Amino acid sequence: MIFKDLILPASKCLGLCSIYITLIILQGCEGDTDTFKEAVFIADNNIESFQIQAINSIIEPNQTQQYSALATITNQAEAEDITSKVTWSSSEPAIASIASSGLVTGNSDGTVIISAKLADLTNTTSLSVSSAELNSITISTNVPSVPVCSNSTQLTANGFYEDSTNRDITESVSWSSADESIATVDNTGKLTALSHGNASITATKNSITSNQLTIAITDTLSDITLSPTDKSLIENDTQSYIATGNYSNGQQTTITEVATWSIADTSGNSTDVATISNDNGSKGVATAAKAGSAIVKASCNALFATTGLTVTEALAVTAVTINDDEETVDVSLSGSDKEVQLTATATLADSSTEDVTEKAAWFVDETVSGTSVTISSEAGSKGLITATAVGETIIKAHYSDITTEITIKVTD
Amino acid sequence: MTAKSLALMLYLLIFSQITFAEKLYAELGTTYNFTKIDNLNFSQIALETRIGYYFIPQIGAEFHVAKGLTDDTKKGLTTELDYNTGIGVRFESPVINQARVFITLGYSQTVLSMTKQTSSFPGDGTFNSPSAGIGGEIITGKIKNLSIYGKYTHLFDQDGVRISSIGLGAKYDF
Repeated sequence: MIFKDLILPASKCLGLCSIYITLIILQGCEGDTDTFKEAVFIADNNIESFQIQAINSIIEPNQTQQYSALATITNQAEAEDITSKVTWSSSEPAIASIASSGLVTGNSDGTVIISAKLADLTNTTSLSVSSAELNSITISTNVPSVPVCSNSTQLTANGFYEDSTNRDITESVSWSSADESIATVDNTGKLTALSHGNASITATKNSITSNQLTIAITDTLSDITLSPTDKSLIENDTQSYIATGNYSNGQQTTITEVATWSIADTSGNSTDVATISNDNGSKGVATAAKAGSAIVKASCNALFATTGLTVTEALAVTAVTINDDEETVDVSLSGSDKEVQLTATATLADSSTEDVTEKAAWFVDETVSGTSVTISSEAGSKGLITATAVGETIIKAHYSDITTEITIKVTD
Repeated sequence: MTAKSLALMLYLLIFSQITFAEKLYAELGTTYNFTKIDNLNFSQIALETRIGYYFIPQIGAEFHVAKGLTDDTKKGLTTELDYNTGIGVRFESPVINQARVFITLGYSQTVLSMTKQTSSFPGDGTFNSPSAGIGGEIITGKIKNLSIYGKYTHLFDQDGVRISSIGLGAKYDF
């Protein structure tokens, strides 16, 4: 009885489970995901075509060169870098091999075809690897004089080879400045002007030295001005500061990216009231950390400018509404209301309100609705919805731990 | 479907028939398939049929096949469900108030085709994966041995591609 009612069913169940487990181990999970994802990437990003580019069409053995793929996007003037999305290949890796990042390495003399593929889009270019000897180097710039503390100036090194070819070797030469108190040059050929005078620059590769390039570092910096001044921020807010250089010739130039930025308390000591970035691309961006007063300072060489910064405590957010708490917004597939700007408003503990459209995170709730609209998360256009199909979509805005929603109805 | 799958499926069915064959059941229904590829969601309606054996009470071994009836176009890409097929084991609860719930564990193969408006690229894609489902069954009593079921099945989830389905249909116990 026990055998029939209990042991036999259990053994059958165990047997079947073992078959199932064996099946899973043998087969696993696999699929043609890459091809489908590439097709979706092209469609979702409105990519029409792409081009591949690199600095040179000839490199030396053991030299590396970065290739990039730039996509042409429908109704967008600026090309988009899709280098990491394409699949790179070389027709003859023994001559030149290429990594998935697009970095090619010359291996032996010869010519190869470098290909980049993304779904059904393909582009190719020719690359030669040559061990011809370098005969001479010429360095140049299109800027004969540079103001002190101006944005970095790009220098270029061109190599002339025994096989009568020439190529850009800016990033493979060693740059030097005769007087580094006047100007310096980094490995990529960018010159930074530090003080008034003549900068004598040379480049060297394989024991061959280039011509000497003289660049006049002119127009002494008279003073620096900062904007905005005496700013008040709420905790966690950010503020981009701009430093403007005022030169002896009356010229004014933005030196935000060249200046060195710092924040101190009113006594000149370090403070945790706010931080400010010295990273390229975000230089001069201050982030308020906690309530207090601080001094923002931008300096270049011996000159500097300061401005006050007051950080106040953030009031608690009690509510967030979209479009004054409307429940629905009607848009149409055609006409002027195909695009509608949504607005998020936060109500603070003191009953005041603040427009947080640009601070909120906007997204389509696909779990409970269709996707008849898209919503922009780009800075400057956050909350902008665009109708894509007839239907209803729920858009949500999240700010300060509060999420609120609105229904978008799209009609023909 | 690979030779390994076929061999194992045959082994499973023969093993069931010889050793445990007690009761056959069959299903016919429609499924609404969801395919999410990165940011794009596609959906297709399919016709599905399923046969199985209860080799012990409340546990069955089954085989199913589904064929897409509709396609879906998003951003100029059209997807179709060529077919979905698979084998599995069905575990049922006891019948309470003319209803029961069940879960399925199995292995499925989904073949999708995707085409662009201007070309047939990328064509067919095959997605193999362990699958799992959960559903409910109502015994109508109006027709003997006939019940109505609804279920959700998870078919594939890897590298940003997710395939699942919800289904509704009728089941007949022979």
